[in-house]
Amino acid sequence: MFTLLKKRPVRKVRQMLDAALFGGAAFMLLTLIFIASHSAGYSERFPDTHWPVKLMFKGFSHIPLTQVDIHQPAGSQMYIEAQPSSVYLSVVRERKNGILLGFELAWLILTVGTFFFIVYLLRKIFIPMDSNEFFDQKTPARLRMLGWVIIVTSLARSLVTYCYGLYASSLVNNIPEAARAVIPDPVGRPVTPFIEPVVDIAPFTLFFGLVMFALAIAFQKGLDLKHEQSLTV
Amino acid sequence: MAINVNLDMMLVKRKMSLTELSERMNITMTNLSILKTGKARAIRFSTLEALCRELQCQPGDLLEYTSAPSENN
Repeated sequence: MFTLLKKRPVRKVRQMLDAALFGGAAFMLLTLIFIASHSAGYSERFPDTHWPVKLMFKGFSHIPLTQVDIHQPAGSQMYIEAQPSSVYLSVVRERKNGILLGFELAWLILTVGTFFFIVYLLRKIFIPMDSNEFFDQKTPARLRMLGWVIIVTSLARSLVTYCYGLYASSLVNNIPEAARAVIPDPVGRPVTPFIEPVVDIAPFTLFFGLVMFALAIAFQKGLDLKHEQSLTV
Repeated sequence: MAINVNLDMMLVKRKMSLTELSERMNITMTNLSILKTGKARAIRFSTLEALCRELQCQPGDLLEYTSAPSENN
């Protein structure tokens, strides 16, 4: 392994990127199959026009979207944060809910699309390095684009997540308390769950995007030095 | 750049071609062209020494400072 890396480091990275690309395609296919089978399962359970609004909470799905808080129904100050694995709400609505599905689709497209675009950009960055052209003219621009993609996608995902949570909360919280699922609190008293949307910004991802900008500046400096060097007689 | 390289003038004075100079100095034609057209951003002392040796001149004969910056700046 070490010898291989020593001999052809860039080619090795490209092979890894190719593998990631293939793995990503397989992942997307599996995700689509999972969603299709999941939807089919619900349709079987609710064959008529009633369609369930599946609210996926932290720990349950690929969308880390909403924080589930359980409050005492009488408006007491007591505050219990539910364990994700113990909370599951399934609310049957009278019509198909395309909006929630749209949010999920937007989230999925953002995630998968970003992954493929990042792999594409990384390939473009590594290809010139394969022929010992470490300071390619387009590398700084590609790194800057990578930084923007990471930051904008992270913020867009947070926005989609928040909107999803907001819409889901409007669905669940407007249902009369009596009709909602009643989950006993740790001491056995019935409590009414409700959803509170959260702003889920990933600071580490934003930091990673900024690192890409720093790298772009470093590569730009390298390019300038290379240019100066080429005009030194 | 405000520094001009008078290589053309020295070549005419010495009745020498650019190709001949590049062969004598063991330097590529590309680098000499960069020097001749004024695109060069820097010159090594070793190159300057070789130029002075082959053209039998002083560095001041090759390099000239002008206050008006040229188009290549």
